Amino acid sequence: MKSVTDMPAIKNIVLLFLFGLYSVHCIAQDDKPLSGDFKNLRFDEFVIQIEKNTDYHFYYNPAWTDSLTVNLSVIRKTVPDILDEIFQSTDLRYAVDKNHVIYISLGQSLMTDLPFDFFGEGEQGTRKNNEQEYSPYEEIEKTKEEKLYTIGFKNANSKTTANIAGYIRNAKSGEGVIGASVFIENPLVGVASDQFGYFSITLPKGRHELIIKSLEMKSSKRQVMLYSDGKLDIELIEDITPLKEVVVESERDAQVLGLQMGLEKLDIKTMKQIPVALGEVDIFKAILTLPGVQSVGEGTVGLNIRGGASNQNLILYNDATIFNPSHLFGFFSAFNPDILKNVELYKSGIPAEYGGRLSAVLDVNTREGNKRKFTGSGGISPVTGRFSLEGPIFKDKTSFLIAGRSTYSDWLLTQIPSATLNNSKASFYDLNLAISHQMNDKNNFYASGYISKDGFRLGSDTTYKYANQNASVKWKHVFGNKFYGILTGSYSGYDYSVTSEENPVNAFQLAYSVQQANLKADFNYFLNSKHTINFGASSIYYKLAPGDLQPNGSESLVVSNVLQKEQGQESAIYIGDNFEINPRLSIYAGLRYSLFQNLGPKDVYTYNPDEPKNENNILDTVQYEAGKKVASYQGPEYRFSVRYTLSDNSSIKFGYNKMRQYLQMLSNTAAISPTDIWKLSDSYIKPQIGDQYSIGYYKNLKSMFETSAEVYYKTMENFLDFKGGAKLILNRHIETDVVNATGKAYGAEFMIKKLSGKLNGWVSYTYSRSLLQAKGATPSESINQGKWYPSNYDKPHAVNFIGNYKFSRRFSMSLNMTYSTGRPITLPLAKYDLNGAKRLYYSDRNQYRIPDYFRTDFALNIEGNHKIKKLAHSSWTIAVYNLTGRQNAYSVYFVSQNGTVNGYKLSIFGSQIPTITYNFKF
Amino acid sequence: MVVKKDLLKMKTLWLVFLVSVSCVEPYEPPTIENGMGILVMEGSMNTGGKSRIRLTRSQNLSETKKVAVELKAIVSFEDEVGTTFRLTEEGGGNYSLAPQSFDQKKLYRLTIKTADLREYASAFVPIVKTPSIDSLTWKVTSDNGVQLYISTHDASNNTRYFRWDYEETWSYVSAFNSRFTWLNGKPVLRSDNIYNCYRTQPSGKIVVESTANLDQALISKFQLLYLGQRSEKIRFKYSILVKQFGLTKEAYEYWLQLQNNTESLGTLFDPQPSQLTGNIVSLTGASEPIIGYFTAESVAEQRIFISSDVLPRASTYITPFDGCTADTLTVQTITLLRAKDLPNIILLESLPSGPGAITAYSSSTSACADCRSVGGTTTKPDFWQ
Repeated sequence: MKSVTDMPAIKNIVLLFLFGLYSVHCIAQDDKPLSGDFKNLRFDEFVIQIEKNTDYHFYYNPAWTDSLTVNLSVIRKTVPDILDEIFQSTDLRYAVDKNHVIYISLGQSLMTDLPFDFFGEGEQGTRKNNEQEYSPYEEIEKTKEEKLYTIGFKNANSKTTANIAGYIRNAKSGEGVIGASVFIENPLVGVASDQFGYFSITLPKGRHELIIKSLEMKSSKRQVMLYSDGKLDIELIEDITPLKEVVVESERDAQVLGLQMGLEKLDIKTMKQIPVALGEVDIFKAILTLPGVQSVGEGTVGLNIRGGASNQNLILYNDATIFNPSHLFGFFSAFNPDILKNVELYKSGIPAEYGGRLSAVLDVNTREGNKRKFTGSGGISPVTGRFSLEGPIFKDKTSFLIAGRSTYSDWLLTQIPSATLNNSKASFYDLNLAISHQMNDKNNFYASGYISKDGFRLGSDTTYKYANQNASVKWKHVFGNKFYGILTGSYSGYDYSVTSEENPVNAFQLAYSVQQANLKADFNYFLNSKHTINFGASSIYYKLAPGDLQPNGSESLVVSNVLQKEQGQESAIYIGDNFEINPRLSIYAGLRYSLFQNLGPKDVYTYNPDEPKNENNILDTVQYEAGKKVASYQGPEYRFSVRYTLSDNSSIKFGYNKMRQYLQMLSNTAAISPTDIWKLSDSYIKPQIGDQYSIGYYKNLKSMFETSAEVYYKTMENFLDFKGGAKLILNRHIETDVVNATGKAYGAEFMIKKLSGKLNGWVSYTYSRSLLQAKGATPSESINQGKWYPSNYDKPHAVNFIGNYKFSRRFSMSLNMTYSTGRPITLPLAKYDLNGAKRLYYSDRNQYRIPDYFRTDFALNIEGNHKIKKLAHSSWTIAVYNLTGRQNAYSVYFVSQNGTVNGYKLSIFGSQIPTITYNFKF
Repeated sequence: MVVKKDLLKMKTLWLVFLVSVSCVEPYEPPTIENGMGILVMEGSMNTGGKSRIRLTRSQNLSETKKVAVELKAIVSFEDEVGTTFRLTEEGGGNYSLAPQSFDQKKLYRLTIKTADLREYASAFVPIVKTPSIDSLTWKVTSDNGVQLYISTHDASNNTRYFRWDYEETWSYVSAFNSRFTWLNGKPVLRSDNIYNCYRTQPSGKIVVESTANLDQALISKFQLLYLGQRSEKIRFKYSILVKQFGLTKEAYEYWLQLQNNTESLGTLFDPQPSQLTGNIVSLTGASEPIIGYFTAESVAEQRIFISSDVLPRASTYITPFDGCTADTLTVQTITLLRAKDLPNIILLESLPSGPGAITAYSSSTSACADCRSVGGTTTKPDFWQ
């Protein structure tokens, strides 16, 4: 075994550097502390002094240190501590070997010991495995927490505050840690790291204990001496399965002290504890346990947030819009749980950078991939299998993440002794690829691709297929400590097809697609300790193929019917300011201005203005040429939030936001179904405009319980609902089949959370109403005679309970209970004879409800042992979905049979569903 | 239930999938509180002839019985100043009024007082003058079917909206001609004819059209209905009686909405249903719904006949008797038949068909050999030419 001490030349050090070897500092154990003044010394002068007084010896390149001046007075400090202080705001790093030789390098510190058997000489060495309580990372972590980091230069300027910026990274993978809190306690000043793990905090000059807390990660702290603006990168250690949830405190702090209201953050760990059907962690199922979030039924992915329609949610996956976030008609969410980094749901107080949807924003980000070593994970459940692999392409610079998921349900179906089911097919897969590249301290690149495909045929000869395709590229450039920008380009596509082969004469294929290309620039400016400003601009180009019906096969008599394509452009600029007026009062004020243009080529029908819009009243067709403006809408969107801290553990918040939506979904089913079509605003379909006011009270009790109460009121203009008898598919004049409704939604959400201790979880109650009114000029343009009526997803009462009990680090149990009012439906009530034909008499729209929903799920999680060094971490989840076997109604439908009309209630999960899932990570 | 049976198998197989765990159970929708059903009104005030109003009741969805009719009701037309014209009950829920001279400038409404003393009234409606039918024509289409057209116009341009109701009548034959019948359990020659029938069928469709977008109230060759080449209706002789009603804009809207409210029940391409009642309200309990839209107008009528000898012949026609077969019953077998089986066995011809003693009869069922089994009548209608 050879050591670097045998190769003193800098050249060789550089060579080793190129090998990409890397280690964190090794600390000499038997240091004698030094005291004394080093005033205005050049670095080489300083080195001479140290070498004179200690047994340390320096190797360095004078070119790197010639501009460095040492200006320190030290009392009983070790040499490494002194060096830490000197090098803190520079790119210089150092390493010390056991002979007290100090190697100074640029950028990264050196490894003073070669890895075992570096020169392939076999097992001559006797390097022992450390049998220690702490992992190597933890050992280093302890030292880092105690060390004093000096930031900036003394007497650099006369300001009383200075800024620290840097990245918070996962020590193991090198990935940025999102949403970590970085704060000092006295005075209480804190920030959260952004989606890249970047933070920027402005503090009074002087010595501070900087506390860093994050979900998933072990909390850490740094002792800093702040002189002037400088950089500090912080690495955190992953907390594999914490018994003591320190992290929770940070969330608690965030709840009361954060400015944002109506924001729900979910990490993958919380999601994993929620029992699910079919054995897969599902972010949508997890989100559904939060107050104010509902869906129309089981097995649907459409979320109805605070009384909004499912298409009013902006779902971003690595910044690209997802149009259909579901697999298998909604039984699985389209996101592979293994690669998710974080999920943020904005229910109110939506920041100005988001726009284009009325109700909520769901921002889903995948991990960047491990920058330091190859790892993988996967899982096997009764229906699906998934696998992901990640690792460095260039260590610490570039990483990749690739993941796939598929189902073997086709095979399962053929195993079932039933002719109907044998003929059924159901399959899906999704693929993810992410690449992250850190070019240098200033420039980072991220690329991500996503494909999901579904095919579905249940006992009939109609096949449904749909697919999402997404790609996004991001470039983050740091202009300076306080200012950075991100340029993002993304593409989102969604298409579906319905193929029928049942009867050769009627065989058809129906296709639909929507595509959008998006370019945006976002900037973040940490002006000072009071103001953080973000601003930017974005533009989206849409292209829709609203319907294409073709005969399928030579015998088919279906007449081809192709609807004209639609084009549109939506652009926006925004600016927002986070202003901390004083420690008690903070405000956020934002303004977004959006402009939408529907573009030609397009043929637009004109209607007799005195008559209701219907086919019989078409007067003329106006033809617009390619690129010509068909219709244009624009307007400001205001965003505003206030937080007032009442005491150390309670606060009150107010939020207001105005949103505009230029792309709406038309659906003839209550749930998101693959055949839903998206429609751009045009001459007749006006953009939806929504306003939401919310107020909340947050209080932490006995540092154990977190309570919150939020009340909101929301109005919606130009909400689209459908006329009686509306036809949505292959309709060339959809404006004749929709009505312009006004919506209002209001509600109150109450939640008590206990996130620490062996028993943790939350219970929430939501009262919410979602009502619509369509009052047109004529009866056909009104619904329910112009009276307010409940929307399809109006479910006034909802109670959720999530409880986890940890028996030990390895065993935990969770129980989930959900109750909600049944959703409204329109029922046929009677039949009657008119003009010699039987007709049905329907109730007013949505005047009845399907039976109430109640479900209990149970899961037992068994983690593998917690040895840090082992081939793979594995876990088992045994879950029972719908423990009570209640037959919750998904839908009620009617079938005409031999002259009578019979009603049926369909329950999707009508019995207990046990599943067992094996997950692994290496 | 199939799905449930699968469910059990699945559980034992321990395979978990959505299809297996879903289950379907009967669902009883809430029924209308009034056990009698909702009052349904059909008909209109005819200012140029006999007016007919029919009152029935709606039924629960699972009901299999015939529609209940509303008897012993007092049905009247009433003008704004209170002049009433009481209709006379004809039985079967039908009420009628002989031709009257109504004041064309007045508004009229319908009032109903049922036997249980509930009172209903429509909104006051104006009298619409229905122009006469200009022509009711047909032509053979490229695929050898028959397309019927209707044309009309209102020279005064007052009547802009139209509705058509039609009644089709056609002659047809059963699958086999029966020459024998039963008398005291023995075959005898048949004297009546159960082979040739006439069937009359109301349109059951709502056909409306607007001229609101045109300069004139002119309807030219509106496509009323289409008959396929193999339709049984045009196999021998076909007749159609078309009634034309002029409508107000409100009435047109009502019929248009009713047209969109199909009877389909929520498959992929089906439209959303909506509630539709009309312009009649309850005077006793305001929330009680009443189905029907009362209008007042003159009615224009026209009947035409289409004989098959002027049409291209089809090789086969689609009839209700497709799939019918004949059997052979030997004389010996006949003696073994029980009396209660006989009415359903129709004897066709004696065998052998040539000279010689009868050894057997060809036979079929009444559903195949009796043309009345599909709803027609052997009586020739009065108007039949």
